[in-house]
Amino acid sequence: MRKWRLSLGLFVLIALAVTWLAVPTTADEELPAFDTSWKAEFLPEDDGWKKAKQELIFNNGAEPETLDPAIMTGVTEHTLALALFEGLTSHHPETLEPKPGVADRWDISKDGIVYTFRLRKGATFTNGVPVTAKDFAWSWYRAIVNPDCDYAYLFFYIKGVESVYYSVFPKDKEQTPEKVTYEQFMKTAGLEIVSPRVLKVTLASPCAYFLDLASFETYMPVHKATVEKHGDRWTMPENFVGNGPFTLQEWSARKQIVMVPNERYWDRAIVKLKKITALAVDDIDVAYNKFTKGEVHWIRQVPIAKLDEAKQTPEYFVAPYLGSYFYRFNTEKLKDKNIRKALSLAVDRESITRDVTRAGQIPATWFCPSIPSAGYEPPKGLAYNPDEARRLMAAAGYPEGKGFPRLELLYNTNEDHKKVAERIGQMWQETLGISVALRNAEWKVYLKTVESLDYDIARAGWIGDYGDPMTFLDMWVTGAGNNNTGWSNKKYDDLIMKARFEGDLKKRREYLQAAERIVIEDEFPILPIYIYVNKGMRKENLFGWFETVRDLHPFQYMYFEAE
Amino acid sequence: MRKLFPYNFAELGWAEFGWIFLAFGGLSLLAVGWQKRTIKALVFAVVVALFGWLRSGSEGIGEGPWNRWAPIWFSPLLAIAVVMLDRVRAPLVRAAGSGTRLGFAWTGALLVWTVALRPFDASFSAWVLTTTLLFALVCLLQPPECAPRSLLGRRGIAPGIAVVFLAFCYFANPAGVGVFGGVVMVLLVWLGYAVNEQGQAMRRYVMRRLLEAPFVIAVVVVLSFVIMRAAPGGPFDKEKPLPPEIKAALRAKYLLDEPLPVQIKAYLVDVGWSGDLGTSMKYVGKEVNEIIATHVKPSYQLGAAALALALIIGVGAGLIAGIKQNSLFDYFSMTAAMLGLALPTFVVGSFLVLLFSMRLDWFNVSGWDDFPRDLILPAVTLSLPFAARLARLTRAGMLEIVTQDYVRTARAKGLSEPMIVMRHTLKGTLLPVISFLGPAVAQLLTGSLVVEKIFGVPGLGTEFVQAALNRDYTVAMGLVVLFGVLLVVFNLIVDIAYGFLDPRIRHG
Repeated sequence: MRKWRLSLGLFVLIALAVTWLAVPTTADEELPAFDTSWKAEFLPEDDGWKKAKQELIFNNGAEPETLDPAIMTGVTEHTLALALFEGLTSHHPETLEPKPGVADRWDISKDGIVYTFRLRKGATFTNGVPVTAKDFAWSWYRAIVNPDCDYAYLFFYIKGVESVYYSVFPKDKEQTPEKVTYEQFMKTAGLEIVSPRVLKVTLASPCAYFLDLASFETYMPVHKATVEKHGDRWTMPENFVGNGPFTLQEWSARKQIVMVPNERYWDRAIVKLKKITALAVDDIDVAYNKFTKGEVHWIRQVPIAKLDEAKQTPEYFVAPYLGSYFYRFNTEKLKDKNIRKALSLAVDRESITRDVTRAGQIPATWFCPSIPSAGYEPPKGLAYNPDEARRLMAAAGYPEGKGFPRLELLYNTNEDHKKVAERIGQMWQETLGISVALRNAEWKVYLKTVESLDYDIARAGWIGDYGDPMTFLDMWVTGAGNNNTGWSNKKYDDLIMKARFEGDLKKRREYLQAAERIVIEDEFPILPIYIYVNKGMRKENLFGWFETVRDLHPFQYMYFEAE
Repeated sequence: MRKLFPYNFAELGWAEFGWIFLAFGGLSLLAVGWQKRTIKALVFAVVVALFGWLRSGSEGIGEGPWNRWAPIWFSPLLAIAVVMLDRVRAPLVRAAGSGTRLGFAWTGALLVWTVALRPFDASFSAWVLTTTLLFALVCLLQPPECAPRSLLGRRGIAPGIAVVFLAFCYFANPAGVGVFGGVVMVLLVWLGYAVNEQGQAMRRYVMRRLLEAPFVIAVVVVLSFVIMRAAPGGPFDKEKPLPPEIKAALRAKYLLDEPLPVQIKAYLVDVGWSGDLGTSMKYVGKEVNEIIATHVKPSYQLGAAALALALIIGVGAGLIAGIKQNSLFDYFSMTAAMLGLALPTFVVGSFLVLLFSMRLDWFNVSGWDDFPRDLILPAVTLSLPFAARLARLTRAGMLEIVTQDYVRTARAKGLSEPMIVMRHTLKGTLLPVISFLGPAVAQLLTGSLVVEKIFGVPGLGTEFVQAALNRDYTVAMGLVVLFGVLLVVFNLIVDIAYGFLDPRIRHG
């Protein structure tokens, strides 16, 4: 039993502990809230911080496309959402495991289907209106029926949502889209407003990472009256209403976003920063210069040319990131899996990360990064083996690469991608005797080319949406929107389907690992290269900031110590 | 208490101004152009019919049937008024004593009338007020035989008043870039009117160019539209592809499913009639007009500073180099100009940052807060290539002019060298410079990607490139339109300035 527990993600442990010990099925309004004493770890030890100027300036790297949590998709936006909004759960600043947010307590039914969230007293929007269960239900409804929301599928874990979604956005073009009102939605969806402070969510099937999803931006609440009054303009500073630890003060397009503490935040006491300025500098050299001059406290990129210089400073950080850099094979053109395998075996990833990318990326023969919070360790794949590669190639009828068609390697225009592609092309030339032509394409052209399978081999990257291997592995299911390799495997599809409906976490993990093994050890629709790292620089006196696997940083824990 | 002046100019949208300016263009044409009354009436009838036809398809102005159909019923009235006015103009001017006085009287009468229109929708009344004021302006411009003799001449006052008035509208209505365009138009008419002592030919030329401008811009729009759509990918292609059903909904929302000609027509009608450039496809909920309004300011601040610098450095150095040909200064400045042309801005910009920000710590590395400190480095960087061009052009112009007969004559007369430069050679020297400045100014005002990136200036250049890369069709098109308008306007100014500088070049 003990071993079993240890192998679980931490958040599951908390949830299960409650289920095991307290065994309540509904979150009674009288029951004690979850313990938040763990936060003490992130408090300053003495009053030294009071002498420092608590104003954080960081480079967010781009202009956010929107500040509406329902429609945001990128890291740029998510970063800001963590300051401006708060979901039912929020992130632990270091491990990112789900911690109480607007909900101060939740109970999960034994079968893992029914989640009962109790909202804390004192959780209000910045305009003083309390955040209620209905705010969540309505915000979720709004996201699901909104064509601008790319992440509506994240709600499909909730019972009935998928059918609502497909009646609003029919798959079949002939079918007329329906208008679904909030009331109709509430009848169909597995959501029940037990009381203004209790929200009961019934899932379609057990979802091991639902608490994690509940902290995701798409699940964050918005203030209905504000949204309805101002339409698309409700995120402008003069109209803005949020519920996060900070609130919006200024939004200067392509320049900066300024946020100040939300005086009504339920945990106002822990918020120590007085002002956050998020710059939108998209030139990483400029950002780096600003950092070295002390104009900025935290940057999220370091130019490769400056890596050696940056690595000398204690301000440099590098951490594994929930992202994978790989090549797609067009399996409709490269039909022989042994050739794909040979191409993969002939690539020495170590030398790529050591000599080309150089920022500490993790050379990978696997696709999904390891995700400790979900207890997932990927299978290790097949190591670099040029002899075996040559043998496979010969067996496929191309000894020394003779007669092998000249392949094209597509990448989106970028110096770094080019260097990797050149290096890999060189390895194939040396090991297998085949030559590839490099072809670069501007971003949108690249996307279109990949989507229409008009390539031989294409560079790709994938950043996980949430802390679970499913965000990586469900990509290769037959016909999935991001598959784009033409690859289809019945056994793989079955394993993913089984994992999706498996309540037993150990079994679920085994299914996922078995599925990943098909991709990286047998069939090779892709060629994994490395696991991304998060590299950047931050001032040493910035505390409460951690290198996290998803590059998310809850601002309420941050503060400066006097230098 | 009821307000005496109830008109909400903030409500005056692009629609009204698009209307006004077209009406104004037509009227001005009539006023300054043809002498034949029948042609005048005919052209006006066509213009009115066009208004009526195009307006009837959209929402009209304000609430209520009278307001909504105002363009229809108001236009014929205006048409009749024009013809009538044309008949009674001369006696009226005679009675009033002068065109200016007539204009004032007319304006007063209109104010009374618009106060009487108060039961109507406020924006409508404001629209009527503006239209009629412009109408009065047309009155003032009449008759051609009493054209002003100089910019500061008596009749110059009337267009001046109109400019001030329109400028007021511009500040009352922040989104009114159209009003800004209007101000420019009025200025142009004024300029064209005033620069030529005879007036007539020049004014006709300016009018013709102004009337051509919308067509030129329409052609630019159509071409850019087609080219942009021909590029693979679209605004909703993302690395994580959208579910097909969502993509279909979005495409329908932005009319992307319609055939291209339908889209182009819809776009032209939107832009031409309401000045509405649409909403961004990437930045949800942001209007293109708003994006332009936000980013145009840093761009023109930077552009204006760079232009001033380039003119001072470039023309100054060019003149001296031209006068003292083959001197040390000549060699030095021309080498510098060569360097300025050859060095890309990203090299110069990065070097300046390295030297003045990183090493000497005189300036911020990048940013756009601290004025004028943050303006200096980007303005210098941006101005260098222009200054280099200007220096070379000025020098070449100077060398050509100094060998002319009239300069020799001036020398023979015993004029001092500075006098010769100021009075005789400068104008001729500046001709090539001026023709270069037209497109250069448009370019400077619409921003520079590289300089904006290096110095973190939130200007239009970055916006333009990003829009193209993102396939944010509406934003990219909006900027194309803006650039087209600026180009047309500045080229026209250049042509007018030609008339000033060289009397031999007279349009007509």
